[in-house]
Amino acid sequence: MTKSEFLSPETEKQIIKKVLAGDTDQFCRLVRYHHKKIYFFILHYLSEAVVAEDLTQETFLDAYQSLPRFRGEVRFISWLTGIALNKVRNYLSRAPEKRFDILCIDHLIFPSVGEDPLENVQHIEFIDKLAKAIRGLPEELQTPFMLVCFEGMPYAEAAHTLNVAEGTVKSRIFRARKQIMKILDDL
Amino acid sequence: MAKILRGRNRLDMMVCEDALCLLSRNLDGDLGRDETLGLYLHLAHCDGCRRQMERMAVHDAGIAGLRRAYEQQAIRGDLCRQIETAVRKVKTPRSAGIVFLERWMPYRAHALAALTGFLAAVLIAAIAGMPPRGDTIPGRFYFNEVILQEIGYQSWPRPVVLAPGGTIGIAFNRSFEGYCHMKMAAPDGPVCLEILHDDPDIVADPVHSLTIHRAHYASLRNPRRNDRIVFTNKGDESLTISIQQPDGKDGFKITPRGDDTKI
Repeated sequence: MTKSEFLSPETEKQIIKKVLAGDTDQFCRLVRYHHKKIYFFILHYLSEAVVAEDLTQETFLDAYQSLPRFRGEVRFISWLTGIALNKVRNYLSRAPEKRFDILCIDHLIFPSVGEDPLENVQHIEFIDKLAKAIRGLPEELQTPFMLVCFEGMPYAEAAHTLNVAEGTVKSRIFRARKQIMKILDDL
Repeated sequence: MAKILRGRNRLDMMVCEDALCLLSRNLDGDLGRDETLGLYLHLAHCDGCRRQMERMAVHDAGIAGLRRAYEQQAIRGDLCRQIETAVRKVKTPRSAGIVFLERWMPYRAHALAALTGFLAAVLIAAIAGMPPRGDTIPGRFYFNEVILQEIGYQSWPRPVVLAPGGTIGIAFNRSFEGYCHMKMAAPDGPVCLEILHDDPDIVADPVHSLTIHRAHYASLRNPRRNDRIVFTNKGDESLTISIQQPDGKDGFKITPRGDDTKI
């Protein structure tokens, strides 16, 4: 068992069955496989690493205790992301000033995109504007956009996570893209 | 070919808003073959949508770059181990069925007793709700074997204790409509009690024997003036007899008579 162990959705279901049968150590395989993805998902919303670590841990603890309710309708990571999203929402409701930290790039280090320093600066400026545009989206558009465009979640799973119809997610992603273009035009 | 042509005809009708919607879904890999074909046929003759597609693609590339920048951040090395340690400290998850069994197994004896009690209560309630049965003298006097938990009438006169071999008679000084209830209790029983309805002109079979285990309940319906009931203790233990005053009959009086020297 290594850190790079690949877990297919089927393997994950078998692991979950084993955990529910009492082999709790198996859950650690899921933790090792998914913890980075959940951590970075939370970090998109909260730039404070310590808070993101705490929420990541809480997410896995909640998932562990709620595992009997996981019915396998979506991939485990999507279910986990849904729990993390609720954690983030709860945290932001307690600390609304943190909403401005969504996709904050101040602490990020961007790899060079070319030899020309000016080109690199322009690239970072563009990403900064893009982040601001995403930050400017209303929550009903921002959340599905983050799930689909950042996390790579399929429409159906995003719909399940957000408890809305799949068509609603498609429509919201489209509206989000249009609004981002408009915000970028205005910047 | 005909299918493609039909598609072309349909695509020629596609408005830019629909094409942009398909474009958005295309970036997320959500389009089927026909929709992809339709989108590209529209793009082939729509410069505006092509420009929008390029912009969306640039934005998506920017988002990918932003995501990569996030993922290149350092993650605390022991975060995974910390989560694993925390997980091991919490209660083991169980499937719903196992959780149910685990929760109730320690109380299975209590649950069984409660269930038995409930069924017994239902049975008693059913019996209590039944009309009097057995040992019935049509029209006048009958007994039943319901064990009374509570009697809703005030007892009057006070209960009398009938020693072994003792006899007590109860006469009515006037007629009335309703029931006179008699409770006979033999806590140390069983005791055999003989009951005589002293009116042979009306009652064909006036003598009844009743074995009292704990408490029995006899009723006299519509007693008439000078009706007389005689109880004789045929057993070896004492028993108690109490008369329940008929409800709503103020002034009604039951007078014990007969051989009360042995009481």
